Amino acid sequence: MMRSIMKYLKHVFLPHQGNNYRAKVLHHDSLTYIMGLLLITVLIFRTSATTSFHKVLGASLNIQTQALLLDTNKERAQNGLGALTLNKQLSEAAADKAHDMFAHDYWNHYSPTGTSPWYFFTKHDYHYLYAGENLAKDFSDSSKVVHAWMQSPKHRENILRSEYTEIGFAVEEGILQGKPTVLVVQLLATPDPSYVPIKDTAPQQKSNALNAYSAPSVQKTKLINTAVWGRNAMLFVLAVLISALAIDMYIFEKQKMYRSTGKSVFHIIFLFVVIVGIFVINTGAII
Amino acid sequence: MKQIDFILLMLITIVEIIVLFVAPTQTKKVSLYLYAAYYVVWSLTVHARTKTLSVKIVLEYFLLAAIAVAALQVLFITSL
Repeated sequence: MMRSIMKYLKHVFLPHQGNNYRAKVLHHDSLTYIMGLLLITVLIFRTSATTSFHKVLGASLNIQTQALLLDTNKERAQNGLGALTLNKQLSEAAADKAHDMFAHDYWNHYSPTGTSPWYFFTKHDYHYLYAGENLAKDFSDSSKVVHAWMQSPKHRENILRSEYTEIGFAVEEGILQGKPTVLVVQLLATPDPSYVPIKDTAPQQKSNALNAYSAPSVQKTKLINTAVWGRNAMLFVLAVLISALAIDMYIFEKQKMYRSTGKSVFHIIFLFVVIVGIFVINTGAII
Repeated sequence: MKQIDFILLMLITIVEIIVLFVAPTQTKKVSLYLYAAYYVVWSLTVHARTKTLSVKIVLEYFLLAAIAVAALQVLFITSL
């Protein structure tokens, strides 16, 4: 049994006469099978987004508004700025903005109908001196959202603006541009102290306290976390190919034989760059 | 293979790695697809010049590039 396994592994990974001096995993048919498997995986995950499989397969999400607030205030504190207080009207305006983005299917600060971000502030009776908006999508964790914003000069400037005193968040799920998406809307503002509401009723007291209002968050744990599974599986496939190519290159360099194939060293460089890409690409997007 | 071919591949590879670390997410994704396309074109050009180009070699480079692109597709789809 052990002997036959070793023989099979040798056939798959080591160049010898039996596999025409090329590891079996690097043969065209094996490469075609690997590519076919990857394409089937793509198809399964694309389909799962629109079927009941979605309940089992999918990225586990944990985007909490309280965590977003804490991380934002942490960044401000590190830059010597005061903490922002969560404002109910701003959070409602943020939720309204997210719903509008799903309804009109756009990924932009301005809607296709020309609605500006500031419309949602005034719609929720929030009158401001200064206001700003940060958007994010396709992130799975609160800290990654704030980290991505802090890496972008414009978003960083928005978060670290000293004039702002209040903040609102919305984390909403929906279908955006044909893809299941989690949108994060962050609205920052300074209320206009000169504004006097023209109402018959007594002015409402703003609920600025953290405990007074909690904007909705998204937390989902899938049976199979495809984000982790997908990344690890792809790294495994590429690592197997690189290993086979490295062994192939070593043995052929030693034997100094001629063979009509591609250069293993260049394949290794190419696949290595793809692995770097898999490690560094943060799939979320911000505007 | 001429030394310039190797230098060109290394140069583009270094540029690609820099892009992967500093560019926005969308640029990183596009640059990886462009890098895969460049790799295939570069290898075919080099093999054609050294008169070692064959269907077998074309298929090998194409399949490896396709595997890399498919792997990236899986990664982007499964992320959310």
